[in-house]
Amino acid sequence: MLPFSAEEELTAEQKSAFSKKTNLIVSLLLVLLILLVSLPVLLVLIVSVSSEQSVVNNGYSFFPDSFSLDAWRYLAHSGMYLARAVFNSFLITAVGTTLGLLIMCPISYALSRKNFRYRNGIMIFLIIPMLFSGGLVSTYMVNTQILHLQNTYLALILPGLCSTWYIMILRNYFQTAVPEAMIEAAMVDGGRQLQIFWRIVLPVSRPVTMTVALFQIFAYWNSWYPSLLYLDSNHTELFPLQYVLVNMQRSIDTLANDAQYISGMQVYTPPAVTVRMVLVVMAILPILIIFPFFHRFLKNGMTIGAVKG
Amino acid sequence: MNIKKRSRGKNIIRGVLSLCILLALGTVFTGCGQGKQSDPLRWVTYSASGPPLDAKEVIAAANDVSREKIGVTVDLEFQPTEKINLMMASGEYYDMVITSSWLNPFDKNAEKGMYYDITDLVQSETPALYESIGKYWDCARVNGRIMGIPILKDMGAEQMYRLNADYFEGQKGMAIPERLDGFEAVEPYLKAYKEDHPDKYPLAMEKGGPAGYMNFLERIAGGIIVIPYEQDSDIPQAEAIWDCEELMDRFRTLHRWYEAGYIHPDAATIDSTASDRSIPVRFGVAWKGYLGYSDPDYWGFHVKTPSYEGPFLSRQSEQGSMIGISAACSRERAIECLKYIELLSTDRKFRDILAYGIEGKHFNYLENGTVLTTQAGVDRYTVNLYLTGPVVNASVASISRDILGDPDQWEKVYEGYETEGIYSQTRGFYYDTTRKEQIITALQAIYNDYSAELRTGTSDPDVVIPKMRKRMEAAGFDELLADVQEQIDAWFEE
Amino acid sequence: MRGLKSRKKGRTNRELLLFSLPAIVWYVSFCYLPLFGIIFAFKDFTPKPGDPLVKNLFVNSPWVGLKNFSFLFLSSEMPKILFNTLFYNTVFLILGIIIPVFLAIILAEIHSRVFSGLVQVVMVLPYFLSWVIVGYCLYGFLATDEGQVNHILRILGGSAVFWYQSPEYWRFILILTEVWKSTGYSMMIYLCAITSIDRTLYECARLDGATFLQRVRHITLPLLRPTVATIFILRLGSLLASDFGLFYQVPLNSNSLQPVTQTLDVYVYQALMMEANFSYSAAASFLQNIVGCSLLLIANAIIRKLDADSSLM
Repeated sequence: MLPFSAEEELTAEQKSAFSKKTNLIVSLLLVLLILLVSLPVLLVLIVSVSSEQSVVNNGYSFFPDSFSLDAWRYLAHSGMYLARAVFNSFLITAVGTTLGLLIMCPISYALSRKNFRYRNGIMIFLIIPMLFSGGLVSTYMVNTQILHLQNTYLALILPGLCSTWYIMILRNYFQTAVPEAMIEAAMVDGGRQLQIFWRIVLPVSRPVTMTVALFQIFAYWNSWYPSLLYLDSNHTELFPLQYVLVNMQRSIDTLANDAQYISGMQVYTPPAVTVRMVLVVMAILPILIIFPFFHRFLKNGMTIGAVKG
Repeated sequence: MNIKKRSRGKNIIRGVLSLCILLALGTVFTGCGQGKQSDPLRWVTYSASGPPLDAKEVIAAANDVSREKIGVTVDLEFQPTEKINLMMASGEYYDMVITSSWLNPFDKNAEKGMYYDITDLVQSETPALYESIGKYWDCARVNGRIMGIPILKDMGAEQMYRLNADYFEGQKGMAIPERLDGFEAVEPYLKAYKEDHPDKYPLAMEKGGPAGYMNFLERIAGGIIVIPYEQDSDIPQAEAIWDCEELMDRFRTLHRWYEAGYIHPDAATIDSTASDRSIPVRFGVAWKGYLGYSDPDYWGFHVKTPSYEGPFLSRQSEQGSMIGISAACSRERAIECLKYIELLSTDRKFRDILAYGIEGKHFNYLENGTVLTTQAGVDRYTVNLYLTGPVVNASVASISRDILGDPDQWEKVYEGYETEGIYSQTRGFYYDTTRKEQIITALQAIYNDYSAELRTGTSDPDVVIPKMRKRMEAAGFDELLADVQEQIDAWFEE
Repeated sequence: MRGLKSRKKGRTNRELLLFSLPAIVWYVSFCYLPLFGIIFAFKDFTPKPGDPLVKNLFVNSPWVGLKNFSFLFLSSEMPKILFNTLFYNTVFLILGIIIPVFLAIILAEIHSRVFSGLVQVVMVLPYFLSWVIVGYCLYGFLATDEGQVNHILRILGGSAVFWYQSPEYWRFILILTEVWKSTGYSMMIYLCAITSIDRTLYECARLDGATFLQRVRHITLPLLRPTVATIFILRLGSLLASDFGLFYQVPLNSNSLQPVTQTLDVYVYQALMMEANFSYSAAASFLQNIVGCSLLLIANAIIRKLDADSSLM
């Protein structure tokens, strides 16, 4: 059962249905498209290194009067427990994504098996929460008064673990990528489900597991609302990076907006607009870093034909 | 065989489900633990942006003092609005919580029985606290009982303009008086600046509208119904905003200014104008002697703050910040809470810890008895004074060694309330919203469709308000107005 | 033989059930337990601090019937609000399938893997910008004085447009913004689904001399159908729900734009802005859920008739 075959050695060009000429035209069009799509992102980057005064005078502009790294400096010197927060974010993201996949993949596999008796029942069981939710208050009550998750890492990890949406995507992939016949054959050989799942299904499903992992990684990395709900202000040691950044943002906004309520000394206000953009860059930076690694996995999937043959 | 297997599978599901439910219910029925005496008091206050960096250290320092003096410590939490609402809505345990007319609504919560009735306790256990608040207890009375502790701060709203004195007085030679004669009196200044800078917008305006522009009215249901302060009739009459000529005129003035180019064309969508320090005219709400608007180092010019109306005092303005003690507290816990607030209200040195931080690190005392914040204080412990205890018992802050605060500021401000204050004639009336809540909610949504553009002058009130009125009347406005008046009449009968 | 087979079947079922167990436990504790929140919609929920949950729910809070729903129907604009909600969701539903599928198919054929990766990462970036930020960026383009678009208009000799007070442009702007933000994400999902397609099928097609379009029509699209159907059905389930950020934060809550930007979620938010009333919001979301649920069931039934494999249940 070699997963790779000689076919793999065909270059992408040979496999493609595009001729060289079509490829060139389509590529040019795509270049145009990504230029358009990335304009606002580019704007964010430029504003983050513009001087605040320039933004005040000219608004968000691709061509600011002057550049300044003040906003970045502010972030570096803000003295907010950033190191600890980065560690927390890594921990939460790693544990959450791994645990999530460990829970979602098996049930998706089970659901992808057409002769699984409880398939429809479990399917309905999974779809109901997608349609009905108890709402914020009851969720909060359950998590704090029944599960007692407040002020722990678990409060940031557990609630985001699974999603019916991803389970469906995994299930569809397993269904298409791994033909029923192959599993039947493996079962005739006496294979248990765990073996089949681990040895056959997971290896050929790397593209989908990695796609889901990618999205989960960023969901965890960028999530801050659970921290607001479940972490009290005297548990700052648990704050993830995004929550610290959101707080920073909010505190700049408050300083800027109701300075009149702060008695006495007029407080130094940091460059509000440009810091905001710096925080956005912080949020999308990990995507740029991780994506190339992820992208390697996306091409390894197209192999099952060999097994079948 | 087959059937047996099937039922076995089902049994597994059933088993797991019932186990989960049992576990869950078990914890539900045991309820959640209540604070015991000598545990720190859980005191929840507000902060939009998380705790100040040195909060832990400062709270520990305050606890050292209070433990020694009265044997009570606190666990002070800074929570955002969302969290406070959720905490109240989920019945979570706390000892003290911030409550007010604008955040975590006091009247509504007190009516529902969320807070501890301290009418008797506060007089018998903490007479000094009872003494210090005096006539302002009235704003904390619900059905005659005291349900919260008002924080003594600026109790009335004094409306002012903040003008660039260097430009208007220095360059243009226009005098800036102590007091401007009303809302529109700022117009000459706007005009002068606009003539010099045709591309600029002289009046700072954000989507929230002019700061406190409705403070000259008592507002019900978020300002859809108003009660003017001075009226001819014995019993105050509530009216719709479109019937309040004074307010309509204000909207018209703003629109005229907008058309004249005094206000930024996108004002109704702008969050903040704070970063543009060149704007020469801004609105402000503060009190006499307030220095926070006037730091020339910050603005780059000298600021003068002529007031144009007020100070207005009403139940609403007096409820600016309060502390509610949880109804779930035991009597002993409630007494501890009161003792703690009493200490904050009577011991200035202790009060200054939660207000400004640790002496020598976050702030220093100046010779005249005011405090000056250090850079560490600015960076690591900046807290709005009204969030951590009575403002009047904290030392007054100075801007710098050159611009000193007046240590007797608060005595003067409170005297001012007696002599110049414009008092509401509703005598502590508050509107019980429960009967008409659906209507209010629906009206609120309608109002929000128009309000930002009205208060920023973007839209013409004579065009927009009739449209809004029609929609509001269709949603039951008259029914609400009648109910408000009915409650006012009943209040005055008693 | 029969006995052996059914014994094996039983074992398989048990094993697969065991596979599902961790997820089921998670769903019970994080999705099913909080479901009691639905009854807030029919109660005047007034918890007493410190009381246990069950007492707060059943003793302290009286039943109020359908009273909590009434604020939704007091607004004379409700038909317009519902129309907006349905209009945008339908457009998003259609564009959210056509555009990403088209891009994914093209991208799978691009020769250079590096370039294809670059396109993917650029396309997916907007998905990670929050709506608040998108709102600010758009303001950078559309501000009356300093906006880039008016700047260009002025250079071309036109006059400045008050974008935030001109509702006529905003249906288009909102649709464009949503497509810009979500296309990359959906595209990734379809791209990933395309990799699951058996490559030998393409090989055969190639040897048979099939053109690109034939290949797409006869191989790619049919095999993408289950994924498309799943996404279609699931999205129908939230047809009355709308992305609050898109309709509230992107137009910067401009009053003039409200006729084309107000959706059900925006209405509920505006109604409850002053005072959070969780019973009312529970009522609103209950209504959305009921409608979504029925739509989902109908769509699923229809799709099952057409193609049993593509339906959810």
